Amino acid sequence: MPSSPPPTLPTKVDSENKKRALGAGPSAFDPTGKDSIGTDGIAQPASGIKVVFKSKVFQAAALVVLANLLLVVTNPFKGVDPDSLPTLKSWVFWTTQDYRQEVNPKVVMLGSSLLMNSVWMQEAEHLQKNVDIVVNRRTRYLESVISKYINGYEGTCFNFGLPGSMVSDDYMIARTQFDKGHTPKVMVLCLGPRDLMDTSFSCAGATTAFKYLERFTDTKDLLDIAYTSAWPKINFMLREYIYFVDKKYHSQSVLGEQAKGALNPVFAKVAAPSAFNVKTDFDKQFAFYRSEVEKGVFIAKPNAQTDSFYDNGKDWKKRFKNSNDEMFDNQKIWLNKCLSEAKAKGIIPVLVNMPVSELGIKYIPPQVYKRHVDTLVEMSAKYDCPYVDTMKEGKFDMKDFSDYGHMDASGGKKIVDIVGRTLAADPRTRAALTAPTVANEGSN
Amino acid sequence: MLFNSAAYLVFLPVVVAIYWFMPFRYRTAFLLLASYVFYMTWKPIYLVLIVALTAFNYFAGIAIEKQKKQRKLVLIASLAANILTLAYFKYAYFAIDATNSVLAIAGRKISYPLHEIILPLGISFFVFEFIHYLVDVYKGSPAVKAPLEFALFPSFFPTQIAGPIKRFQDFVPQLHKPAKITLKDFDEGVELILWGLFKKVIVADSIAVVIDKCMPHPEMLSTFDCWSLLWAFAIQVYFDFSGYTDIARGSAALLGFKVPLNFNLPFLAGSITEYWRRWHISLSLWLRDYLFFPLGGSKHGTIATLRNVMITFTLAGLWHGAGLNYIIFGAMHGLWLNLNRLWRIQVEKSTTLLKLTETKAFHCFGVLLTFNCLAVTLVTFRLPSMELSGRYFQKLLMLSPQTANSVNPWAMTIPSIEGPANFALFPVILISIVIGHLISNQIQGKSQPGVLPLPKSLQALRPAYLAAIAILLLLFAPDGTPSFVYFQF
Repeated sequence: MPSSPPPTLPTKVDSENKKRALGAGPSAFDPTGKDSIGTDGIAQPASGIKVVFKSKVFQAAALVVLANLLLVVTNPFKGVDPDSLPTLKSWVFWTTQDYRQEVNPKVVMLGSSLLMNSVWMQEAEHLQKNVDIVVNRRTRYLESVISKYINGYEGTCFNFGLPGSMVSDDYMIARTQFDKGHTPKVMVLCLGPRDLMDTSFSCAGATTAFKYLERFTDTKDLLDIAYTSAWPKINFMLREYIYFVDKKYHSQSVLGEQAKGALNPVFAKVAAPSAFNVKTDFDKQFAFYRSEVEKGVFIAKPNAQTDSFYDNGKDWKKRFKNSNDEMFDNQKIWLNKCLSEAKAKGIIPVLVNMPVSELGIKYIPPQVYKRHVDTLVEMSAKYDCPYVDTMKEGKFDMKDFSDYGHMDASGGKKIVDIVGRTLAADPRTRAALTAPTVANEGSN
Repeated sequence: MLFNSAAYLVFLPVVVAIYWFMPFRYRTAFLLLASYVFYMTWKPIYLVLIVALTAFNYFAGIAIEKQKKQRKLVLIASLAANILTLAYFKYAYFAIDATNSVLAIAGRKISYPLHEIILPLGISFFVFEFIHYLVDVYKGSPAVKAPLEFALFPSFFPTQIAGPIKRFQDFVPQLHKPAKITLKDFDEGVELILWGLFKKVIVADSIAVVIDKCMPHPEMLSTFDCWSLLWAFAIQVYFDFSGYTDIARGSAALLGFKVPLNFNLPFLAGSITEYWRRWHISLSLWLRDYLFFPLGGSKHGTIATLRNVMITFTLAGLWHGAGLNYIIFGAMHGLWLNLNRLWRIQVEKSTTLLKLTETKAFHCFGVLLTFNCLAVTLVTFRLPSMELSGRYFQKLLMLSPQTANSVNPWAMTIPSIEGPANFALFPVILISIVIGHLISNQIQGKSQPGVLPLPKSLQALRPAYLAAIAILLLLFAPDGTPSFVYFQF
């Protein structure tokens, strides 16, 4: 057996490490040390306090607490318009920016990408020009449909559909965005079965939309329903009491933007353009899966109807792999809150059951789908609001779908036609839409 | 349960508190229970595996010790059982897949069914600890008789998943003394955990954003970008793995245990040989004692030594994962080590060369060369597909076919990428990490070659330094819990 060390092997460093491992050297384990804070499991309270004060870790912890107190008292972010803080340029960010430009829109449609995509694609067909959904959410096609049924109708309609949006996000939109000058007459809640029970979400407070929108309101009252498991709840409590955690995103954004601002001019001179910035057709087609988007990435073109079908069956199955009763019950509470919020603000809510493709419905357990429809019916009765089931009202076929769930322009047209017809036919919404608009009206 | 998860930040203090307030005689049992709970949080069923392997090796160790005539046979059989278990979980899928590929190439229609095998966390590490135990008992070390003590050796939760690979002669005696925890141990433990989290969360994960986006797309990068990414990836892996090790050592320190050092500023190594004395030290020691020496070590001439080094490091590559890419990764290290050995043979023969190698300038050159040699090996380590690795190497060596859309090889494009601040800050991050790491080591009281120590008065800044780390962690901790690079091994 050879005994000399090979060329690669530790010698001096090794022996030092071994000594350390055995407890020798400067970091030796000292069972007789004066600073011992316990002996065989028995604490020594008499010397404990002195010992604690000598601890570098304790001193560091005290500094953190002091810094935290100082920041809580001075609150450098106080008075800053939450909307002006740098943030991830997510879908909800852009949509909110666009919505803030609208003065008292008549109709706001809320829902997930099932709504967002199809209505936007139809918008390009209707206008016969390109529409950038990132920055242009007005739906003139819905306005034209309503005009067809209500003579002299005036007012804007807005598509607030967001990729991955849950009912809880819809509530947050209603709570934070439907304020003075921005309160619609009618809120159309377009819900598919996923929007109440998506298995890929952990809790209501985890979505990008929720995280963005909570900067506009104090969400303490939502703690129990927004964070249903222990960890997010603890995290929320930490945010309440630790300034560094509460202002984490603000600080990250501010520092990031400042760093970019300082360095970009320098790198503009020395760095070459990156090929990563060139968006491919694939990037553009599936931009709604991205957390951060930019202007121009998602543009609908007129006459672009194709028969292409994207097989997202795996994702679809994942979202419906179980009935997720817990999530459903939770989202039902949010649905109640959303409808109450609308009523309290004088908005008429309208519930719409979104269509599902014949392929997609095969993967939704029948009892889950029935539960979804029954809930919408129940809610419409409870809140005395119009309800329309597009699966009964419209004749959707696979040509209207671009994957298991999302529709293209033809599907969008059918949806908007049904919604427009319903709004005009129902006396409650008809009255609201024909009432004269007063400048700056709306509840706060 | 990952060290950088919120669950661990609760688990550890609870275990530490109960441990120190528990009578000494129950502490081993309690730590074993805690370690098994820690393991079960990942996949409860694999607890059966670690318990079964522990029981098997416990009895195997005693059998080796007691046997007079059949000792070698028992050793070989028990080593084979351990290696086959590791091979099944780690290499069976790869082997069947490779066999099917060969059969397909040979035109045979037969193919063996592939079933996905989930690799039990930490298996590579605890199997190595069992092998060390069996071999050392065979060589004369007394076997561990207390079953709970033996069971705790591989499963000790701070080192369970990714080492450092312990030696039972160091670990088990620590279970015997009724230890007290000193203030120094407590401070050292918490500092190590904080520093490890900082390395992982702030440094490694920030770089990972850039690496994950860019490295798999060499065609969109310049040659300069490709080299920068390799340097950055080397730094990422170091901060990720050494961050993990710091948390492991810190957690162990809070329980009154010392576990081996795994890193000693490896990027300051002046040669690849020295690098392996500073990088993943517990693995390199294991490889020396249980692979290189049994192969014959360096006792049988230059050619045999070169061969043994090559075999040792190729197998070390395979230990990292089942795939040709890992084999090439290990073989490249073997190649660099052998070239370094041949160079040193030449140096020893020439006085001029010897003098040259003793100069500071040559040492600096050696540091840069070593770092770049190491960086090159990381191409196959990071990119699982050989085809992709090939394209990356082409770009590195400026051998990619030039087209009208080709990026200027000397251009720096990464800072122009739109997205999080990481891209814009990329060069700044890399430079500041190097400087920051040197300064922080000084504040922590760790000396390093070629760097002047900080004045003692600045050591008083230590609490402020720790507070700054804690605040940065609070400010920049991600919402998710990114895994450690070495967890997959």
